Amino acid sequence: MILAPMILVQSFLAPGALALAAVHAADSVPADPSAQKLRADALVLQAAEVHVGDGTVFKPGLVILLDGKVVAAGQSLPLPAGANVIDCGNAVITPGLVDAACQLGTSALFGSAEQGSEVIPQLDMWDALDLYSKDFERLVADGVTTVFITGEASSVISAKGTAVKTGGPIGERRVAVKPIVKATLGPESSQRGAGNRSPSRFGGVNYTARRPTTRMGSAWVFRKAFHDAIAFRDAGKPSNDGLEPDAMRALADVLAGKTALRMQVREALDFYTSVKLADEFGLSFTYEYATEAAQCIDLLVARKLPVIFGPVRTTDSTFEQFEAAQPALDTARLLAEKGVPFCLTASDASGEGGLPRQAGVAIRNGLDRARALRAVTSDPAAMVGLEGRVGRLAPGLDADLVVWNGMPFDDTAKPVLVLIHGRPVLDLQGKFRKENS
Amino acid sequence: MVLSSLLAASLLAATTALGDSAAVRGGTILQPDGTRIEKGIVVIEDGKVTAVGGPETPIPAAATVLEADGKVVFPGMILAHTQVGLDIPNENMPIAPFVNVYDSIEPNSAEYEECLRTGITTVHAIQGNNTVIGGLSRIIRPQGDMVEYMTVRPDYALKISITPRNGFNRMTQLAELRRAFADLKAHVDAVAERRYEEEQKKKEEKVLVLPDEAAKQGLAHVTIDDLDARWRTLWRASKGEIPLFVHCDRAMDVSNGIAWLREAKLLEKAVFVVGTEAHKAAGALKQAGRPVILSGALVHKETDPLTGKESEVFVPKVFADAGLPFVLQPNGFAFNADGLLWYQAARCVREGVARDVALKSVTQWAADAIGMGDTLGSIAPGKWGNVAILSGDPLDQATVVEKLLLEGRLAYDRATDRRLKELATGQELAAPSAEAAPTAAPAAPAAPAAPATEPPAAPPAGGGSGSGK
Repeated sequence: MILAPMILVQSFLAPGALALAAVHAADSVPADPSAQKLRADALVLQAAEVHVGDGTVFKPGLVILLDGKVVAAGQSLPLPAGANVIDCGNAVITPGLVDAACQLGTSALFGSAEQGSEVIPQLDMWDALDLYSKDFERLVADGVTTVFITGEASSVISAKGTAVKTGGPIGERRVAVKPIVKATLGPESSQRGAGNRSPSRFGGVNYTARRPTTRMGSAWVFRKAFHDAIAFRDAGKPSNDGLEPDAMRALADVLAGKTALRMQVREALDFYTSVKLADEFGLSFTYEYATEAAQCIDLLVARKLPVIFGPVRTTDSTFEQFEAAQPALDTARLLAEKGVPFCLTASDASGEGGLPRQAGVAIRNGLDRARALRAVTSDPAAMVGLEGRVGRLAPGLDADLVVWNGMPFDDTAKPVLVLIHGRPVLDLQGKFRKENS
Repeated sequence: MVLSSLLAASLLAATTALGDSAAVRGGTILQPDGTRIEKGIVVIEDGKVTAVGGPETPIPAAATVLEADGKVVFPGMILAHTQVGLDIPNENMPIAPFVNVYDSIEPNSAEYEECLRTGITTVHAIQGNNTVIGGLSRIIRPQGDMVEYMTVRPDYALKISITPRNGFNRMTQLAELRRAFADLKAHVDAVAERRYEEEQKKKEEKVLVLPDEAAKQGLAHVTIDDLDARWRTLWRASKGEIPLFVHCDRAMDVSNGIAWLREAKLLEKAVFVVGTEAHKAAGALKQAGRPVILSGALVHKETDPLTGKESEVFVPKVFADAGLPFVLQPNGFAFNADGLLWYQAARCVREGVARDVALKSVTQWAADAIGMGDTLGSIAPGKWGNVAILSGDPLDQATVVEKLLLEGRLAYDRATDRRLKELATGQELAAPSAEAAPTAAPAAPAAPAAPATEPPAAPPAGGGSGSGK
């Protein structure tokens, strides 16, 4: 029905491409009771391997989809009579990938760099989002189906992020998430966006254009904003730095734990600054980027701080100039070994630097394959509180999945079919399905 | 010149012919055309492969045996056009055929070490594309503390760019190119006229012809030493003695380039170095029948000027579909996956290029492009013993180079790679000790008998001390 041209995926596959180390074939996920009364319009995908996203692998495997949701995944499942069964041959099925700290899809490169204030947690990235951006096609081509668009690093405390599906009808793209705001430490919030901020068009950032011009300045802005928010919350005192009441209310939500906090840091010293600042206000937070996480591994372990790690730059990037240091290539392996909760992000990169490649580079540098899959599916979903909605092929979750023509994240493999809500957004001919977008 | 050539030859010999032999045993020998020998044996004697075969292949008693059970044995890969390891790869003068990349090669460059780490055994060091006529290039092995010891072929090719250098437009670029050859002709004619007069004088005969005729008759007497040093290389190039690496960034540059090469009767010496947009000229390039080297960026991105529609084309697929061999380069030069030459090949397979085509594009076809197809590019008797022992299939992302043989000698061993740990883990290392260095004594090219303080024996003059003479 939906996949009208039923093309065998085998034709995309190189023979022997799926030679695998032994993977424990688990029993079927307990089937949803509704599977018993499945309608004949259910869609069944059958493949050499089905990776659920939580470490479970079915070889061979089946996934049953109905009404945009996963009904069940397993090795052998009762099929409704007359169901549309698509045999994907030697292909491998995974959940659609999830990026918990995506920086694509805003209308222009710095479209979300607010000049009015350093502290804008009352704003929403949703309002800067261009759902018609070509970025989303690129994400779909990478097999990424859900992204959390995180705040811009040019603000010390930036806007609330927003979660969207990368394909499907525009009206169904937004995914409700608990509010998350991001603070950026280090030189970025003072350096980034230099070209965007008049009146400093003749040089770098200076005090006429931007207040924090040093690491100390960024930390000060962070600290002062929360002090102002506390004074406003407790005594109704207005900010003498011009913070809007809404901004201070949003910060009060962070203090109250109603809004989650992230800290974007790159260099090792900023890891320590972020902990110090968080302790001053009793905040818990998640790291974003965390370029030099390997150097701060003891801190991460001791404080049990979750990390959204990446990206490892694999190609030139507009933002590369801000990379003070290349991350240690085996950071992901190290985080896994030390038991630090983490996931991977591709940030502003797609294609050669995209999420599958981030997983691939992590695997190349020692991360276990199954863990790498988790780090781009169920783990990032959990980081943004969407574990009940995406990131696994489990009953009741969204029918977002990727069919790969080889082992996922291999350099020679790529997504050949991507479904969001059970509808193809990248079809077997490699075309983006506009009718579903 | 003779002395220096001899010395150069002896240095080359010193790096290869140690009189010993090596054998790689037990691995899967993978050739660029996809053929495999399981549990194969490669025997290398005096730097050259003498036998390739199955487990029954005899190994000379004196051979050092490297065990490769469970490994993949693959030919050393080749950078057929690169500025890796060069200090300032572009000359500021637009017409500079008299400069020599010899002077830019930095033997200690970490990039050469990275070549070994990533399975590259041969490097064609050539100046950048920001030129009209660039200097002489050099084919080197990425190991050695002096350029002489690294040299495989000195003074190999010239860089010519059809795409405008900075500050030029396409018309000035082509005009400058033609003017350089016209200036060369004027200089050679003047020398030839003088040589005619000298010859007549020797014979005690009068100069009886007009200058044009004198130049024509005198040409036969002109030797390269008669010419101003600035013109010697270009003179050789104009006679078709030097390969030309012709940079054509865009499709229109390809057609301009082919037209100029035909005009100069030099098409047969050309190797095309093309940008991504040049895939639109795949037909013309195929007809030209010359090697094509692609840029590191393999995807051509374009916004249609009329419709505004963005499109992306995977360039190697276009060449593969056209049946035109191509050569890959890494994208940049880094220790992450994108900087790996074989990653570029893996990308090709991902985008639907046949596996053997992708493998050839980093080995055999690269060897062909630098005129060493009979010497390098696969593991075969008679070819050089440049062999990588890989942990797995070259197109598998987890694969690493475990050992690398450069003309039969162990040039790299991952087990003793001091810098690798720092690259991979960010851990700072203790001060290097001589024993721990990855390119320690047994691996480095054998030191010459002469003390290292002596100046290089073969300074490459414009005329060249090497292959051309």
